[in-house]
Amino acid sequence: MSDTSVDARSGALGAVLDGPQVSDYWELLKPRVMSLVVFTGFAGLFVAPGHINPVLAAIAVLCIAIGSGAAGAINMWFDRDIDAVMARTSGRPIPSGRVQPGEALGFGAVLAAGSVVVMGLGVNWSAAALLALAILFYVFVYTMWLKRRTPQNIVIGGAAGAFPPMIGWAAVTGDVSFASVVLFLLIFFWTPPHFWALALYRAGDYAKAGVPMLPVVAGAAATKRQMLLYTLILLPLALVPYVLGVAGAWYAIGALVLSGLFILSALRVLRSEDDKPAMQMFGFSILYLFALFALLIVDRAG
Amino acid sequence: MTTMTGPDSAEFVKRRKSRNRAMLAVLLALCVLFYVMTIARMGGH
Repeated sequence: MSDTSVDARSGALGAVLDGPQVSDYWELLKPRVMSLVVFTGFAGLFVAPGHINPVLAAIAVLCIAIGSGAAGAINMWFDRDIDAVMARTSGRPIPSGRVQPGEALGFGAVLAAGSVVVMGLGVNWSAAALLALAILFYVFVYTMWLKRRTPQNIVIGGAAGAFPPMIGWAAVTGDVSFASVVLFLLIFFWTPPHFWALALYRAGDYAKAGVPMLPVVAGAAATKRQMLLYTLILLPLALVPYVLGVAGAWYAIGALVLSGLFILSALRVLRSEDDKPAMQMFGFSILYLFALFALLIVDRAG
Repeated sequence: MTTMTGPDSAEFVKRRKSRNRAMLAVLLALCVLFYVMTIARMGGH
């Protein structure tokens, strides 16, 4: 046996034949998406009027995290064909052969059902119903139906990611209110500029995989105009929690500054032919949502 | 004789052991979770 064949066996093939590692299952849960979901879910729970037992609050956040991870695992099962051809996703556990597709589906389905049942039994059934709705929406409406069919895929699909603060809110109050819908809308209108900023500099990848992302179908210029439109909608929307009395003046000032900066970064992307402003806007979009919900929490705590 | 990869390899056994340990940790965590959940819910009534 030559040295090269030994290297090949102990490399990629070895990783497959030796079976999955615990970290491969963790990766199926899309931990980076999970962190944003946990944070916005916690924010909804924290700013909601009323009281919740801290233990049950922790269980609610855990259920939101596991539910989101479960949806991510099922998404990776369904999207394994397109994940394999995109540079950003080709190293995921299924396309790289480390986890069998059926195993990922089973893992996701069990966690999805488990998170909803625990939420229902431990916290309340309104929160559990919203969690189930979010998971089903992400899996069936976004992943299976819209993603490969329409360039507006992430606009409607973004609703799935917008549910967490509403679920957190419902964990405390047991219902859906106008204020919790506003928190939902904040993430809903944030998702398109966030995702399209990524898609702008990954357009080649999406085109290769046949996913009709807006920059692929309508071109960069049209995408950039729509991104600006969404950031313009976000500015007044971000101030609604202040108007409703959910948050105070510090939140309002912060939301104004952050939304203004978001509009400026969209303008920079619009005026540039380069990929760099889009990459920076993608980074800023994550900071924007984190900071906005952090302000909600801080304002409520103070 | 142990081979380099596959069901007989040391790496395969090591990974299976770590998966089993993770499963044990998850089951124990669930026991704790249901216990504290029950106590918290009973305390509320």
